[in-house]
Amino acid sequence: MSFTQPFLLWALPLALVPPILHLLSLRRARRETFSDLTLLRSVDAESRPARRLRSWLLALVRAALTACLILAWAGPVVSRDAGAGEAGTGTDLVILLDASYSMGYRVHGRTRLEAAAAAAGAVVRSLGPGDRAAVAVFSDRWEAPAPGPAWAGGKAEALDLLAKATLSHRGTDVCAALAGAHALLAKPGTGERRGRKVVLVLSDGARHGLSCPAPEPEPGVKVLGTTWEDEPSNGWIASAGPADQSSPASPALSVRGLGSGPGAGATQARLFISGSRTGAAGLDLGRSSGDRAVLRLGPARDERRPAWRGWVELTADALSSDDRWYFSFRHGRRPRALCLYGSPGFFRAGQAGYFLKELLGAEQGSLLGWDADFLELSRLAEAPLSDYRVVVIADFGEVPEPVRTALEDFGRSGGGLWVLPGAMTPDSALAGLGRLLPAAAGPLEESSAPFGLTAAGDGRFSEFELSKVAVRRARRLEPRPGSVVVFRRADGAAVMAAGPLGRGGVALWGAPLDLESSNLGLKPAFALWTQRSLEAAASDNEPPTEVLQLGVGAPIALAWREGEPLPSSVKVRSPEGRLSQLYPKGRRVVYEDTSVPGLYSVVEEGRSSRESVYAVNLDRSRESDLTRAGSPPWQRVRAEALEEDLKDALFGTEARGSVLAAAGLLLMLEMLLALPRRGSRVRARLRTGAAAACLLALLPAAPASAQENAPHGDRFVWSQLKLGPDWDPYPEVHKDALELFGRVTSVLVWPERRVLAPEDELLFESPLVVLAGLGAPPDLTERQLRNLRSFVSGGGILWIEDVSGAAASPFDRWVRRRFLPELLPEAELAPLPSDHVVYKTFFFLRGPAGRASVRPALEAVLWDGRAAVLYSRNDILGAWAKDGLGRPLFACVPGGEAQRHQSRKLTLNILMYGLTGSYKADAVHQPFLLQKMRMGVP
Amino acid sequence: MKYLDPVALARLRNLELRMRRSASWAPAPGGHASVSRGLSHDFAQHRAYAPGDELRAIDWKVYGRQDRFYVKEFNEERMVTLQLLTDASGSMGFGSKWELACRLSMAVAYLAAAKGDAAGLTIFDTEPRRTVPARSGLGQLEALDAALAASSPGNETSLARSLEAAAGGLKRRALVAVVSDLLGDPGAVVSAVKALRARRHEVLVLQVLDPRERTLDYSGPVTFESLEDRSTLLVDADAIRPAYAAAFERCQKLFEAAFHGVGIAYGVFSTDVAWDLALGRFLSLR
Repeated sequence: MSFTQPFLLWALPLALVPPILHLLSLRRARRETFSDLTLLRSVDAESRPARRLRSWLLALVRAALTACLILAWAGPVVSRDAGAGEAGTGTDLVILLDASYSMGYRVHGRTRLEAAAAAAGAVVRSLGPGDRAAVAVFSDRWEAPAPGPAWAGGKAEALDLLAKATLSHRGTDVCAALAGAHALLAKPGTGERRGRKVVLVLSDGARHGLSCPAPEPEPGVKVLGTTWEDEPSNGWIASAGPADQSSPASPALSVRGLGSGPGAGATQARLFISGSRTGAAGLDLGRSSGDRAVLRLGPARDERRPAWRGWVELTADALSSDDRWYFSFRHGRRPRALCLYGSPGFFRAGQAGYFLKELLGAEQGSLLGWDADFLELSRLAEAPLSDYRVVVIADFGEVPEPVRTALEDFGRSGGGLWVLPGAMTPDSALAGLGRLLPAAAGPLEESSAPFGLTAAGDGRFSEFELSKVAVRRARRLEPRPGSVVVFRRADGAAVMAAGPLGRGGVALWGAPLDLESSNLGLKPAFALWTQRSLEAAASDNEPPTEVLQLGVGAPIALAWREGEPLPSSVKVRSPEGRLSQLYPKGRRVVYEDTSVPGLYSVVEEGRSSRESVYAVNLDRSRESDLTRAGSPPWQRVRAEALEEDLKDALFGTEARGSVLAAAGLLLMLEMLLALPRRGSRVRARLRTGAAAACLLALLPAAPASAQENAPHGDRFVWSQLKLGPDWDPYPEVHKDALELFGRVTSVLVWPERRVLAPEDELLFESPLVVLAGLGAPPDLTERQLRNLRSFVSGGGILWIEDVSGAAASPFDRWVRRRFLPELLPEAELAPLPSDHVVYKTFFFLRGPAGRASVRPALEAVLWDGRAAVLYSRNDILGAWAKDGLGRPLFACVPGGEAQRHQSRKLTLNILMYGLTGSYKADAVHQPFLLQKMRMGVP
Repeated sequence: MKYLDPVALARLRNLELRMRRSASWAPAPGGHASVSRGLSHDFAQHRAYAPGDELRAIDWKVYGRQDRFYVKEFNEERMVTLQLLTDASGSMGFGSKWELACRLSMAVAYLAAAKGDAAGLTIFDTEPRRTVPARSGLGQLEALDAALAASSPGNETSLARSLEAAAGGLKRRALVAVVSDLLGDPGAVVSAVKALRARRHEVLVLQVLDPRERTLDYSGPVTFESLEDRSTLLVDADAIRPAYAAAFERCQKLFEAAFHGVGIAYGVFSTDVAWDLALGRFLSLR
């Protein structure tokens, strides 16, 4: 123990004064005559030992009391760490501010990051001239400054870093941050300072940030870390993706949720597709292993591209950033072929088109596992080639160069090409396609004796007599290196060859399919032959299900193989709507700015644009578990009293309060010992009161807001913002409104209103806050705006009432041009539709009402599916105003008393909306009511 | 008279000293009711004549109506002797206790004389110091007042012994009024007073106290000097006060219980309370 003013200890001998005075007072007995001493003597003989003991005890207590007071004046300080450093030699303080997403845990409308930054700011401001500070914001990397901690040039620089700290979407690595801080303190030059060296870790203290052994600090370096009062609970979606049984016909999403902390329990996972809620499932996050649910997805918007994207989110909790999981996946498409033909008589009976259409494009559907579309060759440009796996080109004449190029690009980018030259196809056409074909085709030869076929290495044809197929006319094929022969003639010559083309494949059938050339189209083996040919042409690189999933920070990389056509550019649209255009470089495009979770749309621009959507999510494998670390490698300081605890840790704990408390106890003891001996009861009570007052003065002041925080129980409190000079145009309206609200509904109300400032924390105790005005209020500070924004975005409803009743007013201009754009810049004020739930939360209303009729609809700022700001220009509150005799103060125009009645109803509806939100619209209570009706419960 | 001035007489106008029981034992006719029949103005009943009754007792008006002899009987009234035993020990000199004791003695004597009773006085400390024999008539009051005025408290007290000596001088049953502070050994005091009652005297005990004797209203260390034997005692008055007050109250309860049990009228008279009011309350509750 040390003392801030040790010279006052010389006054300690004064503690002997009370016993001396006590002894002297005994000597100064006065003389009195008394009638008879018999009784007095006997009483004195009985009580003398106890009185003597009490008298000496009293003297001792008074001496101790005097000593305590002297010690308290001397400023006692108790320090746990004697080697903390010498006073006045300066402090080197390294502040490590955790900006991982778990620091977004919100309590009373403020994130832990904001609370920690504010507390750290107070610490920095309290530093003395000989102190210096380094501020570093970290997650699992250094966020700011990027190289790591460095000594700030001054308080302003450190405060600026703290003020700019924002939540990242990354995890936590406290060990690396500590290593950086220790390295800074151990730098040459730093060690020469003879001051205290402190590392202050402003983190949530969860175990997820301490997965590795923390580095040992240098001797003399004190490591402090924050601890938080509340026990955090969190639920999060650990993963979401296509369910095992999911298919294009029956798509399903599997969701896995986890929870930690005592508050984790049953919740609901809601599915959103294209921003609309399409399903929900319950999850019990109280289980140690989490819970799974399967959500049915609707059919794909484009069945040719069966892809689904969207998000699943849990009911928002204190840490909302991990409550949403974005997903994007696509199932393999049903193979589809595009048949291009060049001959107008392609579909005549006996021609190739007749057989192919009967097989693939019949009215009753395809007889194979393939679908097909038929198109004239000249209209190729109209076809979306990316929808097809195979393009069949049949009975064609000369192939124009653009068509040839398009086919080549299609094949190189992964498509299949099946070339079926007809009897009229000129050799030159085949020669033109030569660079694509797997074999060189000779001229069409007519054989006098038809020949049969053999399938090369395909056992499926064993049940068919391919040898009995009669082919009269065919081209002799000479397969190119890398190609394979699929069908041969009986004499062994190739009649169908297949080979690669870029990422795709190509097959060439050497014999026309018309009946004059062969009877293949009439044979049962024709279907299997077609299937085999399509398979030979199609590439096998399309997976059955593809999940486009990335973690935050992972780059989106696209690559094209050699020979594959490159897109002219790739456009990436981030979840915030930012559009980036990238150009292939080295047949690759890498998009690295995936710092925000969400859906990233990637469009490959080229001859045929192709869109892919990537889902980027937080890595929540460890970060979302907010369970506290058992033994963190630091001395704990309370985040809520950081400055005080930091000083205690550095300079010791001031024990003056404790000593004064001991003095108070001694005073009480003195009172108890002396109380029976003091004359009248009145004097005794006066002394007791004085002592109690002293004790109360010694007690630490209770939080000023404690009484304000919980006086109202579960009653609804009319909360009104005090903003601007005209904040209270109708001071008595709330009483009537609350009286009617409590009488008509079953809501318990608090009769008095609560007047709040915009920066007031009590804002978050109110579901609905009223802001009324006539003139333009002054501009809000950044803190006030932040507080209000947290309120409305966190679930609160702000009811703004323009009481001017005029078409234009300064208050209206301020609301529209200054206030709302600054409060919620992402959303706009818009009229509420007449079927909005606010018109039916209690009374069924058809529209707005008020003292005046300025606007035909209530306006609102919608936020997260609810009206976070309600704005009325019709002066609803004015319809309630009364004069001293209880008569309405204003006439309601144009509707008169009926309009006033509607205004009152609308007021109650708005209050009820503040309490129930979209409860009526969700109609979740209807099944319960119906069940009750069915059961006959009255 | 020093202790029976006109103001005191006016205060005593409405008071009356009644006997708690029948005064049949009293030797002479007087003002106190008796269960016996005798000569008085208080008609009791008619009784059928019996041989031996005096003829003057026959109610001839009844004989005229009834044609039978009836005798008219009256309640007898007797005269009582009041013997005042007034304590003049040193403790009675504390405050204005002696003054109060004298006034009470004279008041009781006046009430007795007003009823035609005889009143006598014995002033005692360790033993009877001055005695005025009992006589009836208001003139006796002068003698009593003079005896009291000529006395002053001063010596030690032995209440028990003094009461025994005073009681020895009472040859007949009488109404005995003890005026004292009763300080000393409570057991001995109770025994002595009970001895009076045992001799079939009607006993009144008028305890005279100063408020400081009840509450010990002193503060700090005090050396008390006894008014009786001049002995001293150093005590911390603040410390001893509760215990003393409790002991004093226990003593008072003892007196109250002991005297009530044997039919002795007991009253406490404090110097800070008007004596006439206290005496009136005492006589009415008796």
